[in-house]
Amino acid sequence: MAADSPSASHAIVIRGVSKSFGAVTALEGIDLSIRKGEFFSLLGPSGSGKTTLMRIIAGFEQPDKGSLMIDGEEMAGVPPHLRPVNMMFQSYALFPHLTVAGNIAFGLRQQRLGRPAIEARTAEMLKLVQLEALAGRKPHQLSGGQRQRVALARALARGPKVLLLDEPLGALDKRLRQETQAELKRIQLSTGTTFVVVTHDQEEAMALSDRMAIMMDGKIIQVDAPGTVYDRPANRQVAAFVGDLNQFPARVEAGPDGVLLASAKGIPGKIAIAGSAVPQTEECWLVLRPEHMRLAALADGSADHWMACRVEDRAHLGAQVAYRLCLPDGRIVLAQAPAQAPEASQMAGAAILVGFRAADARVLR
Amino acid sequence: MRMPQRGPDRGRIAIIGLPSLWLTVFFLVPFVIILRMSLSDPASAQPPYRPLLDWSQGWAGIRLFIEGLDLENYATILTDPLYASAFLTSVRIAATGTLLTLLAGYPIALAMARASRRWQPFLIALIFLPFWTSFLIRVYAWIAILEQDGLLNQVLLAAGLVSAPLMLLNTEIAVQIGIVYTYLPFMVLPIYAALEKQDGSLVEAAQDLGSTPARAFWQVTLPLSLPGVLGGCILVFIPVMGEFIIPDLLGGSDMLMVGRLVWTEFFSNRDWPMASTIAVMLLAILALPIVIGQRRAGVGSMKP
Repeated sequence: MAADSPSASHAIVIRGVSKSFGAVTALEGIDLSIRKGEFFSLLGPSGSGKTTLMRIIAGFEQPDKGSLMIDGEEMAGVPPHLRPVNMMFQSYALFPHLTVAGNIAFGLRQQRLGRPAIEARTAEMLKLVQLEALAGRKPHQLSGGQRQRVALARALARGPKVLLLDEPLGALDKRLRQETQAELKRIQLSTGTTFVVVTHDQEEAMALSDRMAIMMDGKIIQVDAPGTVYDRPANRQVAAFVGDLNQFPARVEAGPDGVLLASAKGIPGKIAIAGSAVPQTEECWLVLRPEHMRLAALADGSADHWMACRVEDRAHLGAQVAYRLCLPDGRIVLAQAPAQAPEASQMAGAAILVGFRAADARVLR
Repeated sequence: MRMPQRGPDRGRIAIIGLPSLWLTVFFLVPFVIILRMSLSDPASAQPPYRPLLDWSQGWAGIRLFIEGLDLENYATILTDPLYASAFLTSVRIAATGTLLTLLAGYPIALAMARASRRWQPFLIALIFLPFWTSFLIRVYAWIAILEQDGLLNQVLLAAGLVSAPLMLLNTEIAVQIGIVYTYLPFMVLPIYAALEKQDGSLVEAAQDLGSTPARAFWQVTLPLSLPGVLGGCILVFIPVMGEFIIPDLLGGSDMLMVGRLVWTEFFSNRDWPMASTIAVMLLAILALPIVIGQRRAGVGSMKP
């Protein structure tokens, strides 16, 4: 992306932003560029600083250090009401004394547009979120999902350069969540707005985002597409945060022909690791995703390394069966197998082999 | 089927019954006595009004009693301009006083609601602190502050802000100062309660949508606090309408308000029926707008 000049192709450019609240460091040396039209997620556990970063972009907090540019303009000293961003609040923050249409028109009225222009834009927004029939209702007369759509329409009405969404699906039940994910994606594509979502829900972030930033303890650990974060996590914490993980303490040494060999506790033999940046001397971990584990009665060619184990527990998830397996040393290994596969019929207590391919194993710090 | 219902029924009777009993004993019965007195005529006797109900004559006595009642006092009040002007003065002073108390109280309530959580109980305690001293003593203290060579004039003269002492005591200004001072807590607390429960993200949302902080206040904070404002205004306006002590001590002899009128009729003129009539009229004037207001509010909240 050498052609990217920050002002031309980026909606948000953050350089060296730090923020403390008293003795607590909320953000430390944040560098982040978000491209125009991108669906971007800030993903992290609570307390990771993602909400503070969003509030700095919206202008509700001032960074102690560093700079923030939105659409090529420096934002230092620009108050929230003059920034070309709008925010969808986690609580939705709908104005209880205004109707649905009044809420959506609120931001337009601040721009002192003429009445016809306001009404036209409000109608357009109502149509976008399919709430035309409820324009006259007050927020307390709406369901949770309807409120969420009003909040979205209100935040989009002014045509912001960037839309900030704070845990947009957090207050919805599971079924509504999936519908709304698709809806958000549709609206983001049709308006071409840059969406920045703050969430602690990795499934939500993976499903929605073009790219995501993983935040932990006030720092950005990794910025990548969801698939890359999942397959090539920057460290063990990121790997564990974006999905289930089997972890084995390991050591790495140089083998013949420049191949790296890992020896992991509880795994027989040495595992040949595809190019890894982990220094050989350092304490590290061999990690494996449950879906990369193979189950078999006899060792065969489907895996490079096999371990004896006992089925502790199994859960039928529909298309997949999830296993909890117990190794002889007491370590628990998670595995998944397609429900139709013959090895998926193992019952609790059964003795079986669990294996993996060396190519699926990662060595992380 | 009847047995399980008895428990809840008894509970319901107690819940509705106890307040009803209270209101009957302490409001309805005294009101009926006052109403009956307002329909009577004054008399130089003990008690100082007629007719009296003579039970010994049976039905004839009751008929004589009812025939003795009339609306003469109401006719006097409605025709004698003295009473009308006293009522108008009371309405004017109460309305002005309520407005001034609102203007003084709203910023206090807003500052309290925006103060950090840790300080709020302390600030509420400060609002209540004056109640630890007798109301009468506090109003007397204002005489010492407002009189010709009082504290305020001394300060103003010393600071060179005025060349001659201001005439404050025995004016309407002094009465309004007394009203604002006395009734401020009753205005601050309902407004504070309304502001305190407001979701702070609403103001942020308004600013995010392009409102300056000032416009966010006018468009979001203020409209959402109106129930508290209304409550505070009712709590101030009603007692000020019947206020007697403040105009009597700070307002001088020519300030005729309803409260003083009742006092004069009752104690100076010994005209209990006329005093009762004024009291009934005052109640009617105060109750009507509240009943209408409540009806409106009730209908409004039910409408989709």
